[in-house]
Amino acid sequence: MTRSKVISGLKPILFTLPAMVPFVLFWLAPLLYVLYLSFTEWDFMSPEKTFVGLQNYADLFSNPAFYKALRVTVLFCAGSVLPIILLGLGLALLMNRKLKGSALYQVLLFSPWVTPTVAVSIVWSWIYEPEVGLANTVLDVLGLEKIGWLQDPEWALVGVLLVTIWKSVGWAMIFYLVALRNVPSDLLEAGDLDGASAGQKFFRITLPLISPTTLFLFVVQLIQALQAYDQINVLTQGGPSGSTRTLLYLYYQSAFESFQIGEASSVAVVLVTICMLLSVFSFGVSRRTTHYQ
Amino acid sequence: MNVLKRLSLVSMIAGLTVLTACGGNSASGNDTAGVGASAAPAADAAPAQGKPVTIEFWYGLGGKLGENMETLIQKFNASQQEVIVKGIVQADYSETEQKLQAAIATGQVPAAVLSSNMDWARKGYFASMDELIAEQPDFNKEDFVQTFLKQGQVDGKQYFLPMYGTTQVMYYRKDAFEKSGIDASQLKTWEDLAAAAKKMTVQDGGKTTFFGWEPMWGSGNMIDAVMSKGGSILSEDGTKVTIDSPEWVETWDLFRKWIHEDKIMRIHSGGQGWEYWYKTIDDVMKGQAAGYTGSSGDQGDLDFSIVSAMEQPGWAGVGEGKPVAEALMAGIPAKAGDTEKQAAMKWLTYFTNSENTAFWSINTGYISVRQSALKDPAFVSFSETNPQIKVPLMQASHASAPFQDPTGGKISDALKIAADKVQIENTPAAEALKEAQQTAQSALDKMK
Repeated sequence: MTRSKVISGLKPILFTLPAMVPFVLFWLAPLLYVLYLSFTEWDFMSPEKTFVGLQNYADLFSNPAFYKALRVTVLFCAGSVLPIILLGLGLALLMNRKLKGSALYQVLLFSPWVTPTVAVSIVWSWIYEPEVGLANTVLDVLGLEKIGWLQDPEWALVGVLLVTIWKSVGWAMIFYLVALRNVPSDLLEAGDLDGASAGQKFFRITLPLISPTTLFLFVVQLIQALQAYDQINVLTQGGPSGSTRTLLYLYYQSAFESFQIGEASSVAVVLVTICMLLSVFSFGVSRRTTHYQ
Repeated sequence: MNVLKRLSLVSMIAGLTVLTACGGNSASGNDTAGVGASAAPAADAAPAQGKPVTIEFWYGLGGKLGENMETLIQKFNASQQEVIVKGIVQADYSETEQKLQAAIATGQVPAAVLSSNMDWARKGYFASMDELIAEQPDFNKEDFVQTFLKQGQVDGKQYFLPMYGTTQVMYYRKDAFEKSGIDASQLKTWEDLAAAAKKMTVQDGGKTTFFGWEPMWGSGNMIDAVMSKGGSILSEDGTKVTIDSPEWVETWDLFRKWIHEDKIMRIHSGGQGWEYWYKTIDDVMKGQAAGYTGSSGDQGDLDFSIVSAMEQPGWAGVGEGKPVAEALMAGIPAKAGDTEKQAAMKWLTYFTNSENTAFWSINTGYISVRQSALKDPAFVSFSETNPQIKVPLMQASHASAPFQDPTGGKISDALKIAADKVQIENTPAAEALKEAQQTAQSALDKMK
């Protein structure tokens, strides 16, 4: 092999190095380290780690708390991702009609996204206050029974989900708004000429053309739902009676309340695996349903 | 590729490498600065001749407690020339432990910390204090409240020193009791208290507008009541979780009945941090409840012209109450240098001397850790006008020892979930406790 061929072979490696170095250092290496830790028993402080093989996984899969957390995680993902996408799209369709003051509405709807989750959650904890909070005051005015938004295990997850949806819906709206504005008007005009109804135009033209945005929002929101921690910690701390304890919160409790890093790492590995499987599934589905122009 | 381009590429990679290296360092540096450990060298370095040793003391206390701690630190620093204590405030007890975990891992530990973890002491992360105590000329170990001192021992060695004690006592509105003709000194059993609560409860259209009593959210109060009935969390040999025994089921189901069926008691739950705690106190102070069960440390926040304190009751036919009395303890991390350890011991000895433990008790309501504090002139004078200060101390004299969870918190977590089910969801105690027992037993079995 000539010197020039070696150099041209090395070129791609050299060009990818700036991205590869942080990727390996801050993503791949920690991930592999966590995988290794999941096979050990360690308290984070001891210089020695005891290798326990698959014991942490066996313990995890035989723990009822894990399955309860898994159920809460699934409910949390479904209960946040779908409403965020649907409401985001609905709001974007409204805003796309160039209503008077539309820009102001967009700013207002987007503002929760740029506000820190902890601050948002603290404000919502006041709104949810059982006796004097805004939420129950409204219910009271409407003649409805007051709800223990964060105190009642039947409602606590709903309470956390509402905060999550409220925070992200404006963000989804902005993405959809851009996507809607990129739908070629000639296609819609052609639909008009062919006598298509508004519904037919939306479902046959607009929805397929904005499907890449839907896929992007679905994957990103799914990952964010799996990573939800701040609002749960501020609003319910996983309670009452474990009704809002997701897998990530279970991980936090294992690692930083029980100081069992090996056990926590096994939860983290399961979480990453679920995340990867769901992403692969989403992309698999998208091959058939997503339309790229 | 020309030379200039090659140089640019190389310098970019080198820059990135340096940047990532710096990032790693700065991250840990910030972490350390965040907890303020930079002034606490782990290495054993002898101080320069005549120069005082500066040590860090981590504590998770805020508000008035934090102010009182700072007062004592300043007083100690002014009292001698050998040691300067730098108080580092953490958010709470849990955060102190989490920060300490990181500090032990990195070796940048404080010299003393208001935290105790028996498991960590067994693993060697805390220093045994016996030799350090022996070096203190006027320590007088026998003067300590022995149940508190024993709580700091592991395998017969002293690893933690009690700083102050706490137990849950009963606070009641004098006017509510008087109005219903109830004499607090005659409430000796939970049955008596339930009857009194029923008498004081005011209901309007099936809805309670004034509650006879408010236990505190969580398993703590209900565990206290179980201990008073003779229940235990583990069997004597420590192999069986016994939280589904008749003592537990009967006691917890009574609480469920009082809250959900009779509606004579109420639980405030959830919210931010101590929100539920202060809502409970507010109910009593604002005249929406006749009394509540709270910490001895609440005394600093209460107006004793309105309320008074009494001990937790026992059970009819069983005997006096045996609620848990717990010492809040401080330890010296093993990775601290010898000079720092000695300096830390001087500070802890000072904090726990008779005068200062009396000061702490007067100003916070917590229980002093020395018996001689009762004879401290300031304490004697204060207790004459504030007799409630003696209630936690009297209760501590017949208290149960706190539970040390061998599973690292899993048994306590199972109890917490069961308590939520009983107090909030109105689940029968037998069902909630059976489920908790199975979870806890499984966690305990895995420890063997």
